[in-house]
Amino acid sequence: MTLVEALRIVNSRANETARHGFSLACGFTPLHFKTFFAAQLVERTVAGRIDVEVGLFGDLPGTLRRLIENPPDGVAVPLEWSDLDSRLGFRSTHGWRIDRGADILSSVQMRLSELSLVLTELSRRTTVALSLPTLPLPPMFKPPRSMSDPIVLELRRQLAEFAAGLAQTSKVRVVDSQQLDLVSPISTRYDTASDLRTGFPYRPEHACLLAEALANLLRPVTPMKAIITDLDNTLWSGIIGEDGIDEISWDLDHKTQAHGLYQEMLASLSGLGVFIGVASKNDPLVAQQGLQRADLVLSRDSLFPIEANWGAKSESVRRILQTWNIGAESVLFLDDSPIELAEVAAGVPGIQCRQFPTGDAEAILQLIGEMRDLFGKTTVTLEDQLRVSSLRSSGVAVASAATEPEEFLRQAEAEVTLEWNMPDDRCFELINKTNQFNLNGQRLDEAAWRRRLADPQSFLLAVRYGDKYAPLGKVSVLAGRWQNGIPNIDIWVLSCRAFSRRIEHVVLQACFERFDCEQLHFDFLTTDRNAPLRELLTDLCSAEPNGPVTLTRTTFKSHCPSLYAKVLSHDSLNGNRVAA
Amino acid sequence: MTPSMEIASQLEDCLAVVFPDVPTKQLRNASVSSVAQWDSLATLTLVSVIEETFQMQIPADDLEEFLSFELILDYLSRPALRAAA
Repeated sequence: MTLVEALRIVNSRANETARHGFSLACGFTPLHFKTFFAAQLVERTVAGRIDVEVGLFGDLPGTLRRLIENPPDGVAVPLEWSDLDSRLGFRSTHGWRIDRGADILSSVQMRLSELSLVLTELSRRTTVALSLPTLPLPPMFKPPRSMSDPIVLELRRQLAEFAAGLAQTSKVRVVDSQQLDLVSPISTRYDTASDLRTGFPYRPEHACLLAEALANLLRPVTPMKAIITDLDNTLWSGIIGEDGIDEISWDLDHKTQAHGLYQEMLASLSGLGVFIGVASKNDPLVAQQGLQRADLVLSRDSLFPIEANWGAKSESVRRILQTWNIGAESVLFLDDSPIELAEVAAGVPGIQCRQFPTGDAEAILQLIGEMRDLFGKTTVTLEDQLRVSSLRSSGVAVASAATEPEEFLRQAEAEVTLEWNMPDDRCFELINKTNQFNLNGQRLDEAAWRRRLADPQSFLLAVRYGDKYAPLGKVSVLAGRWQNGIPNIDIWVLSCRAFSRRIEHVVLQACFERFDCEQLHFDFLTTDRNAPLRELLTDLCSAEPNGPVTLTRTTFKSHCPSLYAKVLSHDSLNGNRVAA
Repeated sequence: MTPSMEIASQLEDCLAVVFPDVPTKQLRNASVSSVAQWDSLATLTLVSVIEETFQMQIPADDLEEFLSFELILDYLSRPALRAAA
């Protein structure tokens, strides 16, 4: 992105009334960095103007303290050495004497402690993204620059300890310095003339890349949900049907280690709750033999479902999507064959297809890195860890529910746990990733989520579900606020894994009881994907909704089917109680 | 389009992106005194945009000439600069 492009992007939203307020807390003159930062945020925001406020030049701790009182939607902190001690920058003199080292170390330690406290406090109130110093230290230490001075090593140790402490104990998100080094070489970052003339130290390219890195942490993209992988020359090297089970490989001895690393990445992503399915043109028994090899890097159990057959791959992919019950746009399909990729891309609109670069270890490693970017998460919830096993179990449950639904529900030993006003990361995730059972398709950014939780008129219900087949974890979130004495619900989502359990009816019943009201108002809006919720409201109201809906207690009672689940209720204020 | 007309047109684009609130028709008359947003920071932004657009480096000492569309156009039209760009 050039500066002209960044300005155009920012200007394109300048007249919008909705605004998102961000702060840039830095010790240098922000100049173009502010423009690049605003432009990067505009590109990650569906609508609204981006306003970026900056603090006082040279007063980073003071700027951060003021933000605690009045937190914006997000704060970016591009830290530089001169913020830790002005003698470590180029705009100061009298610091390069050899006897100043201990004093500099001491002052840096104090400044880092101060910043750690204030950043931790600020991260409780808003999203904070921090980058560690990106510019080179001045040539102020004893040895030639090719040799590390103990003081420099100690400075880096202090900085690493500071960042690790923040990342572990607070919600501060720290830019990965190594990743930044890869895209913005350190030798091309510093603009000496600009720093000395205006106090703005970055060359435009570096300003753009650093702004992008910080904006990525403040407005992360929603991770994709699933991968469908080919087997031959993808999961492993070789063609099992021709070469035989003992000839396929993924190790150093066979010079096919890159396939082993690909399996490592799949295993790692499976641990994050990413679904991994297989679509392979193979004899099913032969494919199973390959997957039973004891030296397979990823667990055989993490692959589900496995479609090995001689039919069109697009048909296999569609069946896998049906089993997962997720949309194609959340799925990455990997295959070494361009023909198969083209066939799947044509047959399954919306799916992302990538060629597996068999034989090119460097390209495979690059692909693996990109997979981390597409699927990586900042937090891993209990539901992420349960997802794959519960999907397998729910396959049994769904089959049984389809044949005898009433009997299935009666004997399922279901337990629904209602958690009133107990927000967590999973609630936020569910709201932003659920498409089908979704009241209106509304998505929330972290700032809107925080504002909602701080509103005394708002309410939030999170719902856990488990039965004798599997625990599904937190599967539904309902939220809204009181308006004119009526609970107005503007968020309601239910995970597709939890359909057909009548959880939605339990939720409505709980709302009437909890709110002790005769009406519930829903801000329903038809979207391209929310047919399941539309059908529920149609069933309950005997008319298809085409906008906001009011459901009365009487109507609900007359249409509510039998409910068998044991219901437990927890409240952030009232402690625990059994509701039914 | 003559080279000088092209420079004027490109400079107009530069001012438009830095001062989006200034009506297009007034850009060629824009100056520090007529545009409220044209402060020292805006001058630095404008210089960077011009450097990017014209693929040139502008020495710090020359910034004092960046006071109006007309003066900047005059600066950019100098033969030595055009040859170097």
